[in-house]
Amino acid sequence: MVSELLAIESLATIASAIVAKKSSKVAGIITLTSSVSILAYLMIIGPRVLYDVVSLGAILPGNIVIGLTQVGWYFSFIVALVMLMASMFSLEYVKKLNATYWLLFNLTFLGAIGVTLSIDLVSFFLFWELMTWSSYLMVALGDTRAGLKYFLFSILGSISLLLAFALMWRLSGSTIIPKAFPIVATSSTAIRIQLIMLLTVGFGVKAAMFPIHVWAPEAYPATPQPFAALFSGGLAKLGAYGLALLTMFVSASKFMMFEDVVWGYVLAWLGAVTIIVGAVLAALQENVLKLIAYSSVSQMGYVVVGLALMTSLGMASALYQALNHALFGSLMFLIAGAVYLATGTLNFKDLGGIADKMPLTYTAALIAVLSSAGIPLTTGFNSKWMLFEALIIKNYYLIASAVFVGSALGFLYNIKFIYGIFLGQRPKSLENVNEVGLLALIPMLTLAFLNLAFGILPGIPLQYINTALTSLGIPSIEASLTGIYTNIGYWNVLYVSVGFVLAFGLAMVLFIAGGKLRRVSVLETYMSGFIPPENYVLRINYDFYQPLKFVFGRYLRLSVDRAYAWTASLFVKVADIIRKPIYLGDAQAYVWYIIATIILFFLIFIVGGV
Amino acid sequence: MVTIVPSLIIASLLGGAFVMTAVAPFIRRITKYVPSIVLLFNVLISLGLLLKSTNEPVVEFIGGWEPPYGINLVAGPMGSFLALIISLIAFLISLSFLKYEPTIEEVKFMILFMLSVLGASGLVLTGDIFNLFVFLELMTISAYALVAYGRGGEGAEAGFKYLLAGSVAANFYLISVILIYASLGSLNMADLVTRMTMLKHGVALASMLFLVIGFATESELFPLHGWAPDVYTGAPPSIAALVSGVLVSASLYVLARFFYTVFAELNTLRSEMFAMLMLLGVLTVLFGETVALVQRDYRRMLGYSSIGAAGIILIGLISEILYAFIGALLLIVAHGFAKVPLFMMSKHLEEKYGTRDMEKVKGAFKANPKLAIPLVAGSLTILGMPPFLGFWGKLLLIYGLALKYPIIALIILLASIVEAAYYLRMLHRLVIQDGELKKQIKIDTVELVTYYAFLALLIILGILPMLLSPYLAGAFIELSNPSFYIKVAMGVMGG
Amino acid sequence: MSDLGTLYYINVVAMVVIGLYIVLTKRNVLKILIGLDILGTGVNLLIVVIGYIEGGTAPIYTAGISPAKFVDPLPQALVLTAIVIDAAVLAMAISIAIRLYKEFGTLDVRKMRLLKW
Repeated sequence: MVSELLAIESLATIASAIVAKKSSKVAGIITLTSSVSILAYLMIIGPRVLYDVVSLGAILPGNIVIGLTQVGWYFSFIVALVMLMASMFSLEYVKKLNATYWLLFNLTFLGAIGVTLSIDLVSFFLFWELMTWSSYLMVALGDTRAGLKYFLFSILGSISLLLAFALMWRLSGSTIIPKAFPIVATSSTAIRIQLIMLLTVGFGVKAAMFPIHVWAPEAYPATPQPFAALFSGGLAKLGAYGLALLTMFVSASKFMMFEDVVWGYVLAWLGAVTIIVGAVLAALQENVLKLIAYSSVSQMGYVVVGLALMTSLGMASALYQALNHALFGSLMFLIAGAVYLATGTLNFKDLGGIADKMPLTYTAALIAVLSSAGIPLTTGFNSKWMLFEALIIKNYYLIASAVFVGSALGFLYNIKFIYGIFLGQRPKSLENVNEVGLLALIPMLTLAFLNLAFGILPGIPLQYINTALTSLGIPSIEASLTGIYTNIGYWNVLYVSVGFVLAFGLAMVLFIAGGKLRRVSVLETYMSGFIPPENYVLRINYDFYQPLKFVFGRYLRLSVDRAYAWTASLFVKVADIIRKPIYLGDAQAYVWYIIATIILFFLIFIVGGV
Repeated sequence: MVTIVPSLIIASLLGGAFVMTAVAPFIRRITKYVPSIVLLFNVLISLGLLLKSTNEPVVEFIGGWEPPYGINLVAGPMGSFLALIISLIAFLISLSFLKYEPTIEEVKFMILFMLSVLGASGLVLTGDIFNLFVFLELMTISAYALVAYGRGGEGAEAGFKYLLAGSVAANFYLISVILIYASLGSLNMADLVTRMTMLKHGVALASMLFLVIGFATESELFPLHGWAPDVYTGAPPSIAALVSGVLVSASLYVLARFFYTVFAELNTLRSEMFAMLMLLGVLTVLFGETVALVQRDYRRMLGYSSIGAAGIILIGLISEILYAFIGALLLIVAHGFAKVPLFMMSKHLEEKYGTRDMEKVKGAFKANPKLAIPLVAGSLTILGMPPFLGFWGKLLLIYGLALKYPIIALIILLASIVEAAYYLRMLHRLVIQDGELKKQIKIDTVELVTYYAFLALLIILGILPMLLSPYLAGAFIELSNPSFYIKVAMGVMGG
Repeated sequence: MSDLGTLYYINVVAMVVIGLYIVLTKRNVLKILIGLDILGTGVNLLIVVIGYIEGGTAPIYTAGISPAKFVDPLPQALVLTAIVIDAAVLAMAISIAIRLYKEFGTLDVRKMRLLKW
C-alpha cells in the first residue's frame, strides 16, 4: 500500500523531467499534484503501522520493508507538508527556474519521503543517498564550492551511517529498524560507543549540528528559495528523524548505562553551542539567505538538545520543534523568495521599508519571526517552553542557561530579518515593488496560519507526537487541546489567548476612540534632533549589529570552517608530495618495483619463520 | 540449434579475426562490422552459459581429451558471469568502431582488439594453468600493441612501459607454473587441488609468490601498478576503458581462483597469500585514491580511480565473506560499465579542445547535455549512489567487511570521501562551471548509443540487482567450495 | 639429481638474473628488449630441463622401446608454445621500439618520460 506513494513520486519525477524542457509550468503542476496526493494520503491514513515487504532474493540477507510507523508518519507528514508549500511556491517562481530544477526537486523529495517511509536499514540508506546527491546537484548548480563542501560532509555522514548500519545489521541479524536499532542499547560498551558516535555524526551532518554544520550556510543560499525551503525545512528534519530514532530506542530500552548519560550530556552541549553559534552568526549576516541559513542551523540546535535529554518531555519538545522549524523556517525561505521575486535583491543594504507595498508577505514574515523568536501564541513558543521545562526537570541548569542565551540572541536576527526587509526607510529603487502572486501567497499564508493555529491549539500536534512516543514505549506528554502540563508547570494557551484578544480589543477601542495620529518624521526620533546632510544614509540595515561584531570579534576569528579547509589543503599537499617519488614515469623503475616486491615478501615469509 | 559451449566464444573471435585479415585487402568497408557481430554473438553465448551454470554447468574438453590430461573449459557461474561482462563491455566498445571508414591501421586495431578480448574470455573460462598463461599472453600482447596506438609519444611510451612490466610479470607466472608442474605433474586446476599438499613448502611459497606478483602486476596493485596511470593516459580512450573494465577484472579473477580453489588445501600458504593480498589491496586503495586527488589530466585521474577500484575489488574478492564477494563482483560490473563512457568522453576533449587538462577546459560539456548526463551518471555510480549499480556493490561490500574487518571497511569508506572530492571537482569543471569554451560537440549516434546503453544497464541492474543474485551466490560457492569445482570440471561431460 | 642436472638449474637462474639485470640497468631500448628475450629464454630452458628423466629417450613411439622409458613429452609441447609466445612478444616489442624511435628520436629510455606522476 505505502509503496504506491513512492511509485507515484517516481513517476512524477520522470514525467516532470521529461516535460520540463517544453513547459516548466506543466512540470510544476505534475509536481504539485503528486505532493498534494501524498500529503492527502498521509493525512487520511494517519499514524499507524502499515507496510509492504519486498524481497531482493539472495543478494540481500534481509528484506526491504517500505511502510509507515508512527514516528515515520510524523516526519513524512512534515516533509510532505513542506514539499507541498514549496511546490506551489515554485510555480510562482517558475521564471527563474531551469529544466533540471524540477527533476532534482522531485528526486530530492522522493529521497526524503522514502527515508521516512523506510522501515529497514537498506532502503533508509538508499533513499538517504538519493536525497543527498540530488540536493547536492541543486546546490552545485548554484555554487560549486558550496556544493563540494556539502557533498563531502554528506559523504562523511553517509559513510558513518553505512558503517553503523552494517554493524547493527550484523549484530542484530535483521535489517528491520525496530529490530536493529535497539542493538545500540544492548551491545557491549565498545561497540555501543562506536555505534553512537557513528550515528551521531551521520545524522548530525544532515541536521547541521555543530561542529559539522559548516556546509549549511553556504549550501542553503545556493539553491533557489523554494528548494531551500524543502532543504532546510524537510531534509534537515531527516537528520533529526535519525537522531530521534536513536535516542528514542536507547531511552525506551531501559538499558541506560553511564555512557548513554555522558553521551546525552555531550550531545546536549553540542546542541546548545549550535544554537548560540548559529544565532550570533545569523545576526551578523548582510545577506537575507545567509541569515536564514544560520538561523536554520540555530533552530535545529533546539531539536538536538531536546533529543539529547532522552526524557519524554525533552523528546516531545524536540519533535515539536522539528515541526515548528519546518513551519517557520521554510516560511522564512519562502518569504525571502517572495522578496527576491518582487525586488530582485536579497542584500540588506538594498532592502527596507517594503511592508506597505507587500502587506500580506509582511504579515506572514511577522508571524514567522514571532514564531522563530518564541513569542507566546505561536507554536515556536510552545516547543521552546517545553524544552526549558525539560531542561529544568532534568537539572541541566548550565545547558538551560546556554540555551536561554542562544534564545535571546535569537531575537537579534529575527528583528534584523523583519526590520531590515520590511521596516525602516525604503530606498528609492524599491518604489515600484508589488505584492507577489497568489501561488506564492497561499503557501506563505498557510504556513503562517499554521504557526498561529498550532500555537493556540498545541494539542493537535502533541496528539501525534504522543502517538509517536508511545509507539516505542516512551511515556506520553499530558496535553489538552489548548494546554500543556508538565511536572513543574502548566501552559494554558486558552487563558492567554483570551486575555490577549481582550487586551488587543481594549487597545483597539482606545485607539479608535481617543488616539490622535501625528506624523513624526523619522529624522527627529532617530537622529535626536540632529539634522543630517542630504545624502546621509538613515537606514541602519547595513552593519546592524556592529556593536555585536565588536563584542564577539575575537571569537569570530576561531572558525571551524577554516579548520576544515586547512585540513583539506594539508591532505592535498601530502598527496602531491607522495606521488612524485612513486610514479616516476620511468619504465625500468616499474620493473624494479616488481623485483623489489618479490624479494621483500620472500624475506618476510622466510625470515618470518613460516 | 547451436549447442552452447565455451569454445564458441574463443572460436568466434578467432574466426572473426581471420576473416577480417582475409577480407581486408578486398572489401574493407564491411570489416568494421565484424567485431560487433562476433562480440554480440559472444554476449548471447555467455548469457546462455550463465543461465545454465547454476544447474548444469557446461564443461568442455578440448580435443576430447579428458582431464587431467586434456585442457578443459569450465563455464561455471563465476566464469560465465565474467565472460558475459567481458563480452558485453567489449561489444559496446566495438560499436564505436562502426562510425568510420577503416584504414588498414584501423583494421589491424580491430583485429588486435578481438584478440585481446579473446585472451580475456579464455582467461576466465579455462581450467588449466598453462592454458591460462597462453590466454594471458594473448590478452596482454594484443593490449601492448593496442595501447601503443595512442597518439604521439605518449602512446608509444605507454605501450613500452606496459610491455616491460607485463612481460616480466608473465614470465614470473610461467616460472610458477613450471615449478608446480615439475613437482606435481599436472596442469589441471581441479586436479591440482588434491595434489597441492605434496608440495615442499619452499617450492609452494616460491610458486605462490611468483604467481601473485605476476597477476598482481596485471591487476594494477600497489606497488606493481606503476605502468597503469601511464597506460590510462597514453592509450586510446577505448583501450583505456578496455584495460580498466576487462583486463584488470580478468586478472583479479585469476588471483581469486588460485586463492580459493587451487591452493584450497594449503592452509599456511593461504593465510600468507591472504595477508599479502589484503595488504597490497589496502595500499592500492590508499595510494590510488589520494594521488587521484591531485591530478589535472582527466584521463590520468580516471586511471588512478581505476587503480583504487581494483584495490577495493580485490579486498572484497579475497575476503572469504559471501556478501563482500558479491559486492566485489557487483563493483566489477559497475566500475567496468561506468568507466567506459567516462574514458571514451576524453576523446571529445582531445578532439575538440586539444587538451585533457581539466583546468583549461572549464565548461566543456556544459553546452552538451547529451554528454553531460552519462558523465554525471557514471561518476555517481562510482561514488556508490543509488539508483545505480555501484550503490549495491558498495553496500554489500561494507556489510560483508564491517564485522570482521572494520578497519579495512573504514579505510575503503574514507577513500570514498577522497573519491567524491575529485569526481565532483571534475564534474564542476566539465559540466557545471562556465568557461570560455563552449563548443557544440557533434556526437555520433553510435557513440551516444554506447554511452546510454551502459547508463541503462547501470540503472536497470541498480533497480533490480536480484536479477544477478543466483549467479553471484553460485560464483561464491564455486570458488569457496573446491569439491564443487572439481566435480564440475571433471565430472560433467559437455560439448 | 645429478651434477649435470644441477648445472642446468644454475644456468637457468643465471639467465633469468642476467636478463633482469639487463632489463633493469641498460638505457638503450633495444638492449632492454634483448634482456627481456634472455629472461624468456631462461624460463624456456627451465621448462625443458624439468622434463628430462635420467636415461630417457625421445618420446616417440618406436618399435622395441617401451613408453616407460620416455622423457616427459609435455614440457616439450609447453616450451614450443612458450618460444612462440616469446617470439611474438619480441616482434611486438620491436615494432613499439621503432615507433618510439620515430616519436622521440632516440633510443634512450631515460628520455622517454612524457608520462609521469
